[in-house]
This record gives sequence, C-alpha cells and structure tokens, in this order.
Amino acid sequence: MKNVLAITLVLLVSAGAQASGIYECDAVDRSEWLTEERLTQQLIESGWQEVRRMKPDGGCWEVYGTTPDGQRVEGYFDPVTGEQLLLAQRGRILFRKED
Amino acid sequence: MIRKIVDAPLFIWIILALPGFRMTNTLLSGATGPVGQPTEEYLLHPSGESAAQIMILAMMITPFRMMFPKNKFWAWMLKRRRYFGVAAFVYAVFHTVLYIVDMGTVRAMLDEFTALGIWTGWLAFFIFIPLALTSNDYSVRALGSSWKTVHRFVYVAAIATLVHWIFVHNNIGPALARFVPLALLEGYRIWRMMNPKSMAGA
Repeated sequence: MKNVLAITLVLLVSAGAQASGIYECDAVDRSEWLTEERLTQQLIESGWQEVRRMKPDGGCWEVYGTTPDGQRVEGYFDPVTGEQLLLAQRGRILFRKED
Repeated sequence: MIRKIVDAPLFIWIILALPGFRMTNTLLSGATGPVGQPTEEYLLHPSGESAAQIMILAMMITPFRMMFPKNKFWAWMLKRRRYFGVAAFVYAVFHTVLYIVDMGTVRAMLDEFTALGIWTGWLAFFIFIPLALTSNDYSVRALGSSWKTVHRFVYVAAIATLVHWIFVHNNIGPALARFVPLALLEGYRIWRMMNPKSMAGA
C-alpha cells in the first residue's frame, strides 16, 4: 500500500512539473519592455480575438486571452520583441518555442 | 438549547452555505478580481475550491470515525454526510455555470474539452449528478446495498477533481495540499482493513 501511495505521489509530482507552463525569459530592464497597450495592440493586429489581461512572469509577459482560433489560452511572450514563446490551453501545451 | 440548535438541519445548511453567501455577494455587486478578472472568472476558483473542499471533508468522515470511534463530533458529522455531498454538488453546479458564462460559446468549450484539465472537471461534475440525486432517504431505501456501490464513484470524482485542479492552474502545490490529508486518511483506512487485529489497541 505504501508503495502504491509513493508511486501515485511521484506520478502526480512529475505530471505537475510537466504541466507547469512557466517559461523563463532573459532578464531585461523593465524600461525596455513593450507596454501592456503596445503588446495588446500587436496581438489584436495579429488576429487575437481578445486580450483579457497580462502580468510579468518569469521575465516574460504572461498574457491571458483568446487566440485567432478561438482558443482560451495563457501565453508567454518575449517582453521586448513580443515574440510568442509558449501557448498553453488549460495546461495543454499548444506551442513552445524550441531554444 | 445549544444542542438543539447544533442538531437542527438548518444549522448545518447555514454552515455549508457560508462560502456561498460571500460568492453571492460578489456576484450581485459585480466586483472584479484583484487583477481585473470579470466577476464570473473571479468566482470560478472559489466556487470550485468550495466544491472540492466540502467533498474532501465528506470523504474524511469515515476514516476519522475509524480513528476516533468514540468521538461525538465525527458521529455528528457522519449523520450529516449526505448534506456535505449535496452542498459540494451545489457549488460544483455554480462553478460549472460560471465556466459556461466565462467561456461564452459552445465552440470554445468543445475546443478545450480534450485538455486534461478540462475533461477531468466535466467527469467529476457528471459523476456528482447521480450522487446528488440519490442523496435522500428514499433513494437509500430504494437502492439498498447498491447505494454504496453507486456512491463509491466519489473516489473517481475525487481523483478527477485533483487532476482538474492541478492542470487548470498549472500548479500542483495548492491542489495537493487539499488532497494529501485525504489520501493519508484513506491510506490509514486501507491499512486498518488489511490489519483488522491492530484494532485491539484502538
């Protein structure tokens, strides 16, 4: 029984670690970051249906919104260039930039 | 006097409704979340968390009873376990309605249905429906011994809820913090079932 519990825990922890959509961006001075308005505009121009909100996370802009395909996602963007780095839909990775 | 109040069905209903009062207040005031989430999105987490917490509490009652067979509180809780189950379901309904409003379109919901964090939530919800519908004296009598079998599906719902929580939030910590105590109690229960002799010392 103890083994079963231990295996379950290990599985859950590794599943959780994999699910974590955290993406790390290189540290860049905040003064060089795209403003929230600028990135929102950029996304809307590229077809995003909605940009709900964003916050800095792991040195990137983390954006909550709806993609051109109508998917509700959490996205990580390069704070300076606005390049899309990662897209996750409820923990499912839709896109990840390979570095 | 106090005994009478505590034992009244209304008392437990009010306790179970407490998180709901706050949520209703937020809903009616249309307050937005700390980072500007619209009300329906802001209430998604607390409604789901209340459903999960109350379900976990209901599931903890039996192992606690085994641990403390003479304790009056757990005996009192056991008599009211079905109320906890129904309350968990009501919060789950509220949670699901908020999700539907928040998503807005069927297409958007279908699109993410196959994401692990989403279908597990639906699974837990659909398991909850028959459990809530049979949480009354009539159903207990009508179903007889199969009532227990039906209600054991709460274990599937619990695991689905745990996975749903972890994957929707991309975060394992807060969900595990709620479920590990339950897992430990269930471990204790299984251990007791496999070692019936160790009861002597209890």
